[in-house]
Amino acid sequence: MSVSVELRWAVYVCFSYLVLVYGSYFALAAVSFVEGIFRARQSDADDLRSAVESRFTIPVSVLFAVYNEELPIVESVRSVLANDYPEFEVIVVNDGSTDGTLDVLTDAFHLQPREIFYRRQFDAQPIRGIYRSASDPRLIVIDKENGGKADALNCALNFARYRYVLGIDADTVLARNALMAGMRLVLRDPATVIGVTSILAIAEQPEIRMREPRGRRRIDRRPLLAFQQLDYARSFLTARLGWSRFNFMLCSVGAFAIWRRDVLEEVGGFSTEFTCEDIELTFRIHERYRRLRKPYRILSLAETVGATEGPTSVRSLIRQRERWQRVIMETVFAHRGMLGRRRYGTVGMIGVPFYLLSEIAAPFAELLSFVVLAVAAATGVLDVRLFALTLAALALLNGLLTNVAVLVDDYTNRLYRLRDLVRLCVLGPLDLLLYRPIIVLARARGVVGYLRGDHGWNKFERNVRAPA
Amino acid sequence: MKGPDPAMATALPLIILALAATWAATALAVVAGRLQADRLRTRRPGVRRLGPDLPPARLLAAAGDRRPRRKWSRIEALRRLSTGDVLPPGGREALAGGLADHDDDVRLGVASALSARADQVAAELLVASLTEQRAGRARIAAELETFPVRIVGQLLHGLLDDERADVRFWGLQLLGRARAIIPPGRIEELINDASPDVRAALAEALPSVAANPATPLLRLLADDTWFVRVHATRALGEAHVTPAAASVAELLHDRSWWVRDAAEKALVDLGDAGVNQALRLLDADDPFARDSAAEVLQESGYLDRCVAAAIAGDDDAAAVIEHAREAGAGRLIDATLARRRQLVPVTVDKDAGDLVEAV
Repeated sequence: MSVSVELRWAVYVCFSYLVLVYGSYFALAAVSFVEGIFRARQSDADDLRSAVESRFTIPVSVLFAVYNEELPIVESVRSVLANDYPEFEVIVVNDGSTDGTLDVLTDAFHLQPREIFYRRQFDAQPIRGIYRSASDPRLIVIDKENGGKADALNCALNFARYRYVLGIDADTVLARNALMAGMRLVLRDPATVIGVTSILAIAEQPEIRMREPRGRRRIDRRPLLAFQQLDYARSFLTARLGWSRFNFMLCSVGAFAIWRRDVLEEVGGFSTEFTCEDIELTFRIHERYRRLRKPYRILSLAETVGATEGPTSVRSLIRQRERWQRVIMETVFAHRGMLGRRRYGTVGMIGVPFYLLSEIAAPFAELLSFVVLAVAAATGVLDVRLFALTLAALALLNGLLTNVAVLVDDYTNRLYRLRDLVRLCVLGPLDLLLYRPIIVLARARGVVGYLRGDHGWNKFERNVRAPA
Repeated sequence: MKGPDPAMATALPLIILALAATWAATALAVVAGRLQADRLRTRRPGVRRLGPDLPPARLLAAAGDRRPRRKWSRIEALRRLSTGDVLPPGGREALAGGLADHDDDVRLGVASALSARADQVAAELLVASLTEQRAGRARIAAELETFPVRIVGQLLHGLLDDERADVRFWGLQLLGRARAIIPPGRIEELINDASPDVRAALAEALPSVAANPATPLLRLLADDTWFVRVHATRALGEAHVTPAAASVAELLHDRSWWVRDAAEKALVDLGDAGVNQALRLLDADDPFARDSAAEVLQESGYLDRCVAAAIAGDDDAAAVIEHAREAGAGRLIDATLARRRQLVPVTVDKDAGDLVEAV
C-alpha cells in the first residue's frame, strides 16, 4: 500500500472522528438547550421569597480551602456573607499559606483566636489555630499545616455543622442570590438531590465584575478572558446541562459545588490521592450510588452564581488547563471500571465513554486530525479547497455551539450588555484558530504530565489588584 | 482524492453556506431575544402566553389544562387565580387541583402564590396540601410560616390529631413558628408520642408553644432517641431555663456526640448557671466533658473576664485560670490571652505575658 493510500485512509478516519465528535457535541447541545429553557421557566414559576426568610430552608456550610490567596480572599468571603439566605456558616481553612492570607482575613473580619473542639471525622493535617470573626460570628477561620486542597476541605468538613456544604474557591465572588439559586432544587427534594453545581463567569477581577448591575455587565476586553468565558459557557450550557438531564453530570466544579454532607461522609470525604478533588469526588459518588442502586440526582444549573478569576496570560492558562487534563486522566483511569457497564446506567454507558472521547482522546485526536488533513492537503492527497472548507465548517460549528451557549445564558440570566453578547457570538468561530490550539497544547502537556506521574497543583498567579 | 469528488465539490460549499446561515440566524436570535426583553422590560418575553385581561372562564380553562406543553401557562393561570381579589366559582377547586398536581413546578407555583393571598381559603388549601403531599413539604411549610396565627392556628392544631406521624411533625413545626399555645394535656400526649420525629419537633416547639416549657423539656432530656435529647437540650438553652443547668450539664457525658455538642451550646445560652456547671465539670474524669466545660467558659466570655480580672490583680480569677489550665484547657487560655493582646495596647500585653508565666 502506497503512502498516499494510507494517507487517504487516514483522512477518512479523521473525517469520521470529527463527524462523531461534533455529532455528539450537537446532540448534547440540543438536550442542554431544552434543559436550559426548562430550568429558566421553572425558576420563573418558583417564587422563593418565603424560602429566603424561612427557618425551614435547609442551612448550608460554605467551605473555603485557601492557600496563598491574600489578594482575592477577602472579597470572596464578603460576597458569601452578603448572601440572601436564612442560615449559613462560612468556614475558611488557611492551608499553611506562606503569604499574608491570614493577616488580611484577620484585619478584614476582626478575627479573634478561639479554641473549638470538633469531631474529627476526616483526616487532615494538624491545626495551628482557630479564629472566629468578631464582626460576623458566622465566619470561622482555621489555620492549619499545609496538606493540599482536599486535605483542607476535609478539615473544613470536620467543623461544618449543616446538612449541605458548598465548596467554593478563594477567587470566586458569589452573587447575592447564589446560595438560594444553588439550593432551589435541593429544597424541593433533599432526599434525592445530593449535589449541585452551576455556571460562573470568568473575569480578571471578579469582585469588580460582580458589582456591575444585571443587564449591564461586561465581558473582559482581553480576548483570552473572553475565550475562557466562552469555554465555560459551552462546557456548562451545551454539555453539563445535558448531562444533568440524564443524570450523568460528572464534574461538579470546585469553584461552586454543593454536596449533601452525609454523602461526603459515606464516600470518605475528599480524596488527597488526586491532583485535584472535584471531578474525582463526582465520579466516586456516582460510582457508589449507581452500584448500590440508590436514587440520587447531581445537577448542573444555568444560573450564573458568581464570577471566578481567569488566567490573563497564555502561560498561566496552559498551566491551569494542563492540571485539569491530568486530573481528568487520573479520575477516568481510577474509575475505569464504570466504562461500558450497564450496572452504572447512563454514567457507564454514556458519561464515561463521552469523557473518554471528548476529554481524553480529544487532545491528540484533534491535533492528529488537523495535522493529517494539513499534510494531505500539502501533498495533494486532499484538495486544498476541501481542506479550507473543512476548517471553515469546523469554525462555524464551533460558532454555532457558542451561539447556543450564549442563547441559553442570556435567556436564563440576562446579565451581559448586548454588545458583549454580540462580541461573544463573533468570537465563537474564531475560537478554532485563536484559542483551541492553546487548549490542545495544554491538554497534550497534561497527558504527558499524567504519564510522568506529575501531581503538582501548578496554580496560576492571581491577577494583580489595583490598590483600594 | 486529488481533486474533490464532483458531488462533494458542490455539496461542501452548500454545507458551509447553510452553516453560516444557521450561525447568523442563532446570533440574530440572541440579539432579537435580548432586544425584546429590554423593550418589554421582562426577562422572558416569549413565555407570557396568557393575555392581560383574561375573563375568569378562560382563566379557569387555562388553569385546568393539564397538557404538558401548556404547563407554564397553566401555572400562570393558577397564580393569577390565587392572587385575584375574588375567586371565581370553581377557582378553589382549580387551585386545589394545582396543589395536588404530581408536578412539583405546578404545586410550588400555586403554593407560593397562595402565600401572597394569605387568607383563610389559602391557609386551608396549603394545610390540605401539606397533609397530602410528601415531596416539597418544607417549601409548603415555608409558605404557611408567613400566615398570621389567627388565620392558620386552628388548622395547625388540627394536624396534631392526624394519625400520620409526619403530619403531626409538620403541625408542631408550624405551631412553634406561629407561637400558638398548645394545651398542657395535649403536650402530655405528645411527649409520649410513638414517633421520635414528633417528640423531637415537640421539644423544638416547646419554648414557643408551652406556658411552662421546663417540665416537659426536662422529661424529653431523658428520651431514648438521641435527636430528641438534642432538641430538648437546645430548647432548654433557648428558653433560658436556668434551673435545668445541672441536667443539661449531665448530657456532656452523653453517648451521642451531637447531644454533647448541643449540651455545650445550651450551657453557654444558660449564662451564669451554665458557667457554674462548667466550672464544676473542669474536674470531671470524662475528658470530653472537661474540654466542653472549658469551651463553655470561653464561649460565654467568662475566661476573658477572668483574664482581665487576673491582670487587674484578682487572685480568685487567677486561680480559676490556673484550675482551667490544669484541667487541660491550656490552648483555650492561650487563645484568650491572644484575644486580650488584640484588644488591649502593648502595656497590658506585657501583663498578659506575665500572667501566662505566672499561671
